[in-house]
Formats: sequence, C-alpha cells, structure tokens
Amino acid sequence: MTKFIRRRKQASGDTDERDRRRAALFKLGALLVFSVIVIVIGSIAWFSSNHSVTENGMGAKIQPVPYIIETRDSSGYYKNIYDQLNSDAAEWKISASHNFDNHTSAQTNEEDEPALEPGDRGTLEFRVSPISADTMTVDCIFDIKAYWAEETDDGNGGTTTTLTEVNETALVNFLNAHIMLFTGIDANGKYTGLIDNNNVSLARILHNQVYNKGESTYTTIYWCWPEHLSELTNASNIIYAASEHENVMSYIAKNRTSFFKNCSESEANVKADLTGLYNSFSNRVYNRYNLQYDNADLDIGNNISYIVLSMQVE
Amino acid sequence: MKKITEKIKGLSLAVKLQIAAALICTAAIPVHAWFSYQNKIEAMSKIKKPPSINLASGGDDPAIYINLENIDVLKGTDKYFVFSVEPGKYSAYDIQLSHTTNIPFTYELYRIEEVENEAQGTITYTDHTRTIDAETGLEVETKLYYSIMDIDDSVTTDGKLSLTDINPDNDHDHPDNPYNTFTRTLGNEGALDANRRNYTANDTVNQYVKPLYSIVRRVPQLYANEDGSDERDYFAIHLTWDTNSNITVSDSEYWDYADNNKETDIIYISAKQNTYTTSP
Repeated sequence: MTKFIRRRKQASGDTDERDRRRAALFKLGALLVFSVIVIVIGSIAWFSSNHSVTENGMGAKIQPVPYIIETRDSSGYYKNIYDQLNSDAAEWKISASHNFDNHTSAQTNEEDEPALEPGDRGTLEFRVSPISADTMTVDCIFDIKAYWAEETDDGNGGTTTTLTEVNETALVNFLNAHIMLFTGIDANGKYTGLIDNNNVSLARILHNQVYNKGESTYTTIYWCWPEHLSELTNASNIIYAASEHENVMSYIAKNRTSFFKNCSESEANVKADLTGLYNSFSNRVYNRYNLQYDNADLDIGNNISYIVLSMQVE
Repeated sequence: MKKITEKIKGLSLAVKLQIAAALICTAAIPVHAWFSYQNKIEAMSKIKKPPSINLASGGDDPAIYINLENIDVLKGTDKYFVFSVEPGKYSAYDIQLSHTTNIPFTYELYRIEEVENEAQGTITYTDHTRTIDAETGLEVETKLYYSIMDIDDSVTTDGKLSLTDINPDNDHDHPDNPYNTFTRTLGNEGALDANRRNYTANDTVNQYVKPLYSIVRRVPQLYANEDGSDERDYFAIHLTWDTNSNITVSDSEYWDYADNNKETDIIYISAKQNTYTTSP
C-alpha cells in the first residue's frame, strides 16, 4: 500500500516537474516572441520615418539623416514649463554663459527668478553638423512665440502653471521686433550683423550659413532687448557698430508698427526721422518715438508671461 | 536546453523583470532616436512684469480723489492736503511738485501717518473707499485723521521733507514785474533746460504763470511689503499764506498777500522711482 502511494507521489512529482518545465519554456517563448515583435517594429520604423524619400522609377531610395543640430549641455531654467508645450522641436540647450534666461546673472544678483526685461542681452549658440554630405548651406529661421501663464494652486501647497499661446498679432510682433538678433560683436562691444526679416513676417532669417562636416565651432547669436530708443537712434548711445546704422534704421522703419505702438507714419518718414535723430538729436522727435517704443514694451510686459525663441533650419 | 531553463528558473522574479525591461529598451531606443530627428530647436524664457509706481489719495482712495478744494484764505492761515505714493517694489522715489504762482501760497511737504482720532492728529481726510454700505453698495464717507510723523532721515527733518526749488526766481528786481518788487519765490523759465521750458522765448507771459518746480529726491519707502503691494506712503502738502487787510491793489506788495480774489493755480504732483545711489 505504502509502496503504491510512494510511486503515485513520485509519478505526480514527475508530472509537477514537467509542468514546471513547460511553464518555464512557455514564459521564455513569450519573452522571445515579444522581443521579435519589437525588433520587427523597429525595422518598420526604419522605413517609415525619414526626412526625404526619393523615387527613381520603380524603386524608392531613402536618404539618411542629413544633419544634426547641436547645442550645449544644460537645460534652460524653465525646462519644466517648456515641457508642458509638448512641442515637437528639440530643446535649445544652453550653457552658463550662453543662455536665453539670464539665470546666471539672476543668481548672482539674487533676483527671485531669471527673466527678461528691456535692457537685457545675451548670447545663444548652436551648430549644424552635416552627416551625409561634407558641407551644407542652410537658412536659419528665427521666430519668437508668446505665451500667457495662469497660476493656480495645485492643492499640495504648490502652483501649477497653465500656458495659453498669445495670438494677438500686434503684441507678438512687438516682441519679435524688440528682441533683436545680431551675428557678431566688434572690439568695442557694439553689435554687428543685424539679422533681418523678409517682407512677409517678422521671422528673421540668417541666410546661407555654411557648415562643414567635422567642424566644431558654434554659431553665436547675440540677442538683445534695447532698453530705450536712444540705444538705437542716438549716435552717442547706440549698441551697434556705427557702420550698421543704415541697416538698423531701414530695419526699424520697415517694421515700424512693431517697434512703435500706434505708429501711423510712412516707412520713408520713419527712416528720415530716425536718421535725423542719429545725425542731430531733436527732443521733440525723439520723445514722440520713444513714447511709442516704451508703450510697446509696457504691452509686452503686461500681457506676455513666457516666450519661446525657435531656430529652424531649412 | 535543460541547463538554460534551470538557470532561468533559478533567477528571482526581480531579475527576470529587469532582463525583460532591458531587452525592450534595447530594441526601443534605436526606434525612438529615429523618430526624434529634428530640424528645429527652441529656447524658453520668461518676461518680467513691469514695475509701477502710483499716486493715490488719502485713506484707501485712488488718485481721482486728490482734491484741493476751494480755500477760504480769510478763515485760518494754513491748510493740509493728503495724497499718497504706492511705490510698489521701488525702495526710493522722487516727489516733484510743480505749480503756478498766481496765489501766494507757500508749499511744504510732510510725511504723515494715520491716527485714531482728532486728539492725536489734526490733519483730516474724508475717505470714500474704506467703507462700502453693505446694503446699497454705495460709498460711505469716513473721516480719517492724520498727524505728521516724527521721523528724521536723509530727506526728512521732524517729518518735513526738504523740497528744493529747481528754478526759483528770487530776482526781486525782475523786469517782467510791473511793480518791480515781489517778496516771494516765483518760477524762472530761464533756469530750465532749453528743451524743457514751458514757453518759448517769443511768448510774453505773466510771471505768475511760469511754473515753479520743487523736488525732493530719494524719498525712502517706509511700508514695504515683500511684493510691494497695497502699501502706501502718505504725505500732506501744507499750504500757508499771509493776509493783510490793510493792503489795496495799488500797493506794490498786493500780490504777495492772499485774498479771496478768485485766483487759480495749477499744481502737478509727480513721483518717479529713484533707486540710484549716485545722483541724480
């Protein structure tokens, strides 16, 4: 009797082991199948996401990635808030001395938080590294978007920030005009190389930038928000090199409704007035334009919370 | 096969999960990198709120209630008018007073504070904002009392701020003056910057409409909040005058004495931030 029971036990023990082995195999199999599925999906992605596809008759040739935009290492101070936008662009990473939010100087001056106001200026860097070709020539398009933030209590003692894009064109145009971009700075600390816009929008375009494979130099963009109009018009006060003043005056006159709030002068008149200020100062003319410039700044300050400067390569 | 299965069986659940996760990630990362090829980069920044400095009236009233009402110069020899400055986040500011001189008032500026009752302070102000009738929603006028603050600092002595005249005309032998003498300070256009004069050289104006500008610089903010909201520094303009019942219009000093002769002056009060540590 007991012998019979022992054998039954052994037999069932064998079955148990077999079951366990079967279960292990099953799990391993499932794992393998899952991995294969992921690899297959990966290869499908290889075919389905490309910058450009060219077709030659019956076949389709796929181009490899043409370039990578490189920036520095650190995230900006407002990375958390930027993430809320779920933008499909990459973050423009910064360094301590080349950033868009003044956070290094903000920390040394013990301000509450880094932010921009008229009079601020700085630099940003980027580089386009060609991958397939040895050299490439691209246009870099700069645009600034504006957002209004609402802060609400999140119930845990902190605040949540909700961003809505500012769509009022006049306001966004003030912003794009007042934050000026230059490509260089001379020995006296004056800007050179104003980045101009085309006549369609206020997006500024840096044309025909040449990048070679294997180079390591970054392109530096000098951004600044002139504090007073005198920094753009008075020969003794200007922040750009004197050789640029023709370009800068033309740029301001072309975009006069975005530099000055409620400016109703013609482009030719504005250019003549500003050039006149440069050559010989007149209180009456300056006060009129300066008030409009300051009012535009006031509108920016009162109606815009966050801004995003984008650089698109084409 | 048996060895592999035994080995796998031998692993703990935690390790098995980690292996599975590692396999997934290895396959997933090349896929993700492919999708994230970019042609656009973005940098975000914040715009600061513009700071502001405001003028307001006494109590909780806004600036619209600043009121220099009809003054009867034969009743009393002085009068106080209350106004306030909301400096916001500015720690110091300039106050400028500019006025025409038709009426022979002397202007002084005092820093004041609110007190409980008339026994403690004689400067009165009627407030329209502090109390609103709960039923009708209408303003209820509240009488407030102020007294001169007993403080001394860089610009104040015993509560009186040291106003400096910018363009005083003390030339008592002035050619414009038909009587050729006057004993009080008038405004002098010539002392102002050519771009800042009120009248051009060709205008012929009575000397009493040339405004006198007085300023006190770097008045410190006393009631600063962390965010500078809602707090006000209260001030009073103290007008004093002399009357002389014996004088008539044919006397040369007639215009130096106050009388109820329906003269009108324009007075400007302005405040501007001045946190500079060196002049101006």
